[in-house]
Amino acid sequence: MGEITNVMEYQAIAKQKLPKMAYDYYASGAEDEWTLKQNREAFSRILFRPRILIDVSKIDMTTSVLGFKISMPIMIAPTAFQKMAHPDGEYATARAASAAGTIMTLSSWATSSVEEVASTGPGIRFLQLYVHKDRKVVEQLVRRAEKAGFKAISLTVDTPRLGRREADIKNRFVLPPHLTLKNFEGLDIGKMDKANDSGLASYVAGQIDRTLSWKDVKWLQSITSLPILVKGVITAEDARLAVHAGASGIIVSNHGARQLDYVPATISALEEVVTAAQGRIPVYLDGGIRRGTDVFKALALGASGIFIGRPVVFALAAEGEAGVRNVLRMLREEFELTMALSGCTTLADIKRSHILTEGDRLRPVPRL
Amino acid sequence: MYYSHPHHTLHFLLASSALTHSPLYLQGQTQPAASRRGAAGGSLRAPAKMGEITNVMEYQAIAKQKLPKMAYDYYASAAEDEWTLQENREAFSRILFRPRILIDVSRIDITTSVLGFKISMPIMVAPTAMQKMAHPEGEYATARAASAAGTIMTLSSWATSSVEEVASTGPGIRFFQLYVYKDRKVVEQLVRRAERAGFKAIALTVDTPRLGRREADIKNRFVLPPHLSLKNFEGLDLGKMDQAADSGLASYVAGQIDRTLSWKDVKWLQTITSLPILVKGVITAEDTRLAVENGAAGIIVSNHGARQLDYVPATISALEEVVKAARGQLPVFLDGGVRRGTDVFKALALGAAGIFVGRPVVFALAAAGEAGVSNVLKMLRDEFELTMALSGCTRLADITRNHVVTESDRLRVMPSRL
Repeated sequence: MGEITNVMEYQAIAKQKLPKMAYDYYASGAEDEWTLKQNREAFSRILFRPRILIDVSKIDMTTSVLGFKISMPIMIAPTAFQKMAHPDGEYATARAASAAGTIMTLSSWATSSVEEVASTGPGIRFLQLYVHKDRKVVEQLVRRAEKAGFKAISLTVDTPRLGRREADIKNRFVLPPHLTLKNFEGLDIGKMDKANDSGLASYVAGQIDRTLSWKDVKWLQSITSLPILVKGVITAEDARLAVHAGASGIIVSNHGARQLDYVPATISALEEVVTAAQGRIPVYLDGGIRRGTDVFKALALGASGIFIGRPVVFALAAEGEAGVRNVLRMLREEFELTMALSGCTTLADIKRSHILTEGDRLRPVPRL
Repeated sequence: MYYSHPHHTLHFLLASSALTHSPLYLQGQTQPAASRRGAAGGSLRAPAKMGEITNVMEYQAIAKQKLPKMAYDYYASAAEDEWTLQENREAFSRILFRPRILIDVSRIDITTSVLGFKISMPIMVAPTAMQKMAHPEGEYATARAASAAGTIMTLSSWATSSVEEVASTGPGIRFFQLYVYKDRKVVEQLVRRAERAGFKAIALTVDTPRLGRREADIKNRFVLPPHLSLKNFEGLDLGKMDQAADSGLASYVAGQIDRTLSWKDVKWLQTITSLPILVKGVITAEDTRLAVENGAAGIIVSNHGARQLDYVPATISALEEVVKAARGQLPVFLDGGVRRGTDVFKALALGAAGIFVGRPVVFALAAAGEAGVSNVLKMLRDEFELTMALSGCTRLADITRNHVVTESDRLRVMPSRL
């Protein structure tokens, strides 16, 4: 293959290296995987309007997320069971994120605990949270995250029930026996094994609270002062409710196309959410980011930053920490070049007029 | 239409045909038309023997066979996903014709004037670098073919022949493509030499403050073959190019290209030369206005052969916005994906004053040297002339917006055509 020249090349390597059950768990989406494909294709329907003859000798892509300064608007999304990809798992990801000066979101279903991740050294980390039926478990987890120096909660709101990932059902997915959900170690909250279908689905059905609603966001706010991002909002109505509920931010997400198939690509849903948020809280995006050009498009449509999921686990599988570092480096460099070629020297320079959406092509946009 | 005719009728048509060469399918073979979907221009099936070339795109497959991988990849590839590379071609196929019939087309005049210079046709040669990597005669061959065809050649700053060498091939109208380097004295000397060598205009590349990510070049660790040099820079230390971990050209360019380049440098350029300056790489209305305000002599709507920022629109898609913003105050040209006479016509119908061809020239060079380049210019000329005839146009001024239908025309309710 020669030198890796883009983030997507790690996927094929991961497929070769990982057992089928593990690769399928990471790679697949729900049902027809229509949204999985759309999450990528929608980016290719957004084109650029680069401005030329602008001094782009100094590019500054630093930004601030919930008050925390980071090196670039490219952060790590929560993806579960990273030790299934590579023995170093979340340790490797944490180190790579810190080295790159960006934020890592740790999954509730990590194969490393919040304490273990914190032990890798300084870094800005968020904890992704599912609300379990047993509220005491949630409270303890949040407490531990606070003590471990995590800076925000990323509350997943699109998973009252697990989406139908048919590969996992066919494979009867279970976590390999030598791995554990380290944040729940010792707690009797059910194990994931001996599945008749997707072991994960059974686990979720047993543990995750289907009654979750906006009042639980209020409850969460009563037990922690950590900022709460709501991950999985894709409509204007829910964006408004998030603002009213006092969320610190929204992550426009379709859970990597693993929950409800036939939702729009996140990049397609983004503008509606940004407009509804009215600048009152930051809006982030995950889903299908693979190029620096994708990052630029998300920012041009109003996102304050983006998160990447699968590229991290595929790079982990391929090369461990070095792979994750490489992914962050490649995206950073591509994004920087995109900024330069578009005539933008800071993130604030990135405007809606730097891109052309399908909607723009149908309705003529006055430019002068 | 021909497929349904029995053979004897076909022979009658062939015998009485005034065509100088017949499409292969009329000769009983079932070879389909060259695919429109190949990257960078179509069919990658090489014809069985030379002499069967019936369109410009066929040179690409031959070039691929003949050139070392690194050289072919340098010419053929584009940035990142190569989406814009494919789009530069496909966007043409979404523009359709509204031909006018029963018009006397016995005399077609495709001559035109570019920046005051009379040329034989609105089809010119774009700057493409390092032509001796394609064929030993490189830019000499291109210069001769362009002059023989009576059209303009643009010489790349990164040519493997100098402005003086190109001028030595004889009379011809030539433009010089310029990158503005950090060392302004270098730029000044280049411009001076171009003027002395009789070049008539500067084509200033404005879309390359940094080199685009051509992944093939990175994987190949592209370097110029050691026996060649960028002749306009003879005397500079080009050894740096070998030592790069990635595309050697990227490293060289990274060192030389001025990232601070802005409109004030256009003004500076105007103080050191009175040659007209074309701004190559403008694709927005806003930058078109700035070009006019800054005294550019013309614009070339270009995305650098899709080699710079991927996911910009096809140049033919961006053209109309630029033409409208120019308000007729300067000529607008186009490059990017022109492979057919029909493409030339579409560009003119959308307001371009002329077009440039890039890759077809280097592929034809690789395949057949000067004869190949001459053939490319001839084929495009002949196709364009036929397109004009079949559309009912006898001069370039007859080509109007109403001769084409774009996608947005089809989407919006069209006002009456009468």
